[in-house]
Amino acid sequence: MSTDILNSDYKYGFFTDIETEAFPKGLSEDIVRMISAKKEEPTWLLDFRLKAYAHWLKMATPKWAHLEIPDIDYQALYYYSAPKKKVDAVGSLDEIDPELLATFAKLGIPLNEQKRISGVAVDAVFDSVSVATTHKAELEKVGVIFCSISEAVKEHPELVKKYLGTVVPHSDNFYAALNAAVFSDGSFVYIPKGVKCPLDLSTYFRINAKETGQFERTLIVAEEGSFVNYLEGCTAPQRDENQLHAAIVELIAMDDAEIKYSTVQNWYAGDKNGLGGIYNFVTKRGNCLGKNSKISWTQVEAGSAITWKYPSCNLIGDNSEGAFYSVALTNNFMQADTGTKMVHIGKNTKSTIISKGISAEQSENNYRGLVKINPSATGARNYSQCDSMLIGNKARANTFPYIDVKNNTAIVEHEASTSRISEEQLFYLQSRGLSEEKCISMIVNGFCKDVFKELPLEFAVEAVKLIEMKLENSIG
Amino acid sequence: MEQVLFNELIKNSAEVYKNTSELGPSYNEAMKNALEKFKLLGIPTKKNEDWIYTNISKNLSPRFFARNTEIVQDVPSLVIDRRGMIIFNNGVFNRHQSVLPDGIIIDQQVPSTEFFDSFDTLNFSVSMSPLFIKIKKNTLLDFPVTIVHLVDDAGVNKFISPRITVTAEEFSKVSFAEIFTSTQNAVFQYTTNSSITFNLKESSYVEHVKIQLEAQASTHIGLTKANLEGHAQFKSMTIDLGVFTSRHNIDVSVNGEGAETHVNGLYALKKSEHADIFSVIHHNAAHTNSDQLFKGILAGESHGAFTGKIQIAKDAQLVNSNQLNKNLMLSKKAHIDTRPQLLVAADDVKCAHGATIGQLSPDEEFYLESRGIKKDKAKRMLCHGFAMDVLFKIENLKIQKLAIALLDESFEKTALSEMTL
Repeated sequence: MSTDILNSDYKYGFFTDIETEAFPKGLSEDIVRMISAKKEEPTWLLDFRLKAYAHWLKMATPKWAHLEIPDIDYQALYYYSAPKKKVDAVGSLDEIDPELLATFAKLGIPLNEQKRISGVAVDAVFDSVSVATTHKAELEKVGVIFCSISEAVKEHPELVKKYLGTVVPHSDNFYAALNAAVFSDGSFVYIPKGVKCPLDLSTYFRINAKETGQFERTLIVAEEGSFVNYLEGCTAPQRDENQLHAAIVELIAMDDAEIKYSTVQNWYAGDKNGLGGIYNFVTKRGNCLGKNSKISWTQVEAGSAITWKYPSCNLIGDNSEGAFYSVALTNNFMQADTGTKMVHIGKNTKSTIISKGISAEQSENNYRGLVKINPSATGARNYSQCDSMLIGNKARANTFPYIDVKNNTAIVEHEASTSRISEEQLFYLQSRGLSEEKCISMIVNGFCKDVFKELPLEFAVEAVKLIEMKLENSIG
Repeated sequence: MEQVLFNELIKNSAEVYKNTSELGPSYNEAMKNALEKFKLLGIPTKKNEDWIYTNISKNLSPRFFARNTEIVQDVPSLVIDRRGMIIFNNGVFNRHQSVLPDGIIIDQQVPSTEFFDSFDTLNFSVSMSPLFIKIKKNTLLDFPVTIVHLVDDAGVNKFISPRITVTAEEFSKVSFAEIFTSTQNAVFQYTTNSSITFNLKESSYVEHVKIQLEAQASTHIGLTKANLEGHAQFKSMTIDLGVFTSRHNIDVSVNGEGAETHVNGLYALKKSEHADIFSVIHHNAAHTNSDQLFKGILAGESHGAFTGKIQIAKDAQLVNSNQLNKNLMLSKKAHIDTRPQLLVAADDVKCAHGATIGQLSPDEEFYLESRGIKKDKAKRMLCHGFAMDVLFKIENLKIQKLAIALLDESFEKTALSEMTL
């Protein structure tokens, strides 16, 4: 049922023609109430939405990022779009969407890898709703809750109520307030005390319908001594107009808990002339609440016309650790302003930031990060490294690190560099008989190795392919 | 707060214009135009991204120093060599006391039309005796020229606005030491808003060492600006020895191929002092180099801020640019913000920046103490060592000696308890 639009470099540019149900365009209090009613939500959640909506009305779009964001008409979007019921009743991954599996094939991930992936529990979010969650039974055996957030509101309201909005409050920023008002679905994960989650959990986001905005919300709670590895992937059809994606991810790690969150973001980035593409304005934050807790963000940002994204860690518990590993690749007319915030509050907290930016063609790639050591964070330690690589003489790469230290026992180190692929490296590889394109791809992969090695295997394979695909024909 | 002060200043500017007739009508006209510009720009607040670390309007003086008379003072003791000295009293050029060496002449006054920020605009619009000098072609000076900005009791509670423009012609080489101070550093309170611009012609060399030694309760705002033509070399050093609030703007444009700049600095703060360094280096031409090292020593409850921007224009290929900011935090309540930024629009460049924040190493302290050196002395020795790294970058040895002496004096004055609070 899918139609490939034009001959495209973006291999997920197809549109799946599924009957959808959508609310009228525009945003108003009524729409917020309608979304809430549609989802049969309790009053506390409706109140949360309305409060966020009221706050959002008072806010202005943030302008501090080094981005040129065209004005967005928030009244010209559909805030709710869902496939009709018939697609809803799928039980296993094989039944969901052949396209979804086909996309893996298109990426060229070997078949045995695919089998491995089928061992990953997946929550697929299609436009505004979660369509399927796999491997539920297996997870329930060990007490892990993994379901869509709408389901969690119904089945585990006490947990959702306790944690929702505690990491990213509804008033946090413009896009977070918007999301809090109209979020339609997302994933909810709860790992009970002492449980090492037996499967990797994964969410797959897909924007399909036209003129919609996607606003999903993910909440992950890891109780004492637990561990979870969470993966996230995203794609969207290829269209000439821009679409908005404003998500929130909240992570909470208790004593000795560890959450690893990996993203391969490959939203449609617009065509060669910068037409169309997704605006990816995402708020991701984790609270290391407990002692010795760990949160790590690993991201490969290869898509979106504009990326505005700062996965952050609040290191509250003593000895807690935060990490951020990022590869951001921009080409054509893409713009990215991405980085992280590490806020050290607890004693002996540690954070690591490794960021690799690659910018090709006319794109602009910005790293923006904050390392903040509060007076209470005795013995805090941070190491940051941000490297940029430029391909072609029209690309731009900027670095904006902010370091704010209020405790003299802290040790903070920051390093950044900007360079291009050296002639020597290219010559060396080419003299061994490799094509220029292959050489560039190898060098870039080497440049990103520190980040790729943090990714789970199947994602690492995907990431490498993705970067190769993106860099095709972009020789400086 | 800002608004009240702002209105007061605008009103007071009329006083200044009573004494500026000798600058000529066109210059006066330009000053008034700049004032209009300043009215639009206003006094920056923390909401301005460039000023997020400093609330500058906290302690600004409400009136300008508006008397254009020269005061007879002794030659300031800080003058390194009396063969070359430029003296400003309360922001007014003292032409009787100043001595320009052979090869440096007074230049024609040219009004500015473009400004770095609102304070530069204000400085131009109220600076009554702007100094324009020219270093003639092939001039090589083997002694440094000292510029002393001395504030006396007439300048108390006033805005002091010295403005200097230096043009260095081809193949000239001169070192400047620019010192900001007052006759009674322990008592006075005033605001300095200074601006110095260097225009370096092809293959010229200028070294500029700025030492901020103002009265303790004062606010210092200063701009060091340089424009470099091909193969020119500009060496800048900014030394801040602590004051109520200081802001140093450094703006270097490297416009010609083969030009090179070294921009270094040191801030040694104590008590509740505040220093904000804001440096921007524009690489507008290919084959240009820049190198920056800024070091900070923060004691007491002081607050240091560093912003270092490196901007590489499109097609400015084969640029080599390095920046490093290192900070030493001596006390629990000290606070440092550092913000190194790279903005790169050319692909064949090598750029790196780094920032570190740390404390004195207990191992090093122990090593010194085990050799019988008292704790207090050991700490001072280590701080001294940390700072020397930067001060050794001053090429003119006489200026270097003065800078080291002033730094040590400032360390001596601070009790250990004040440092490590």
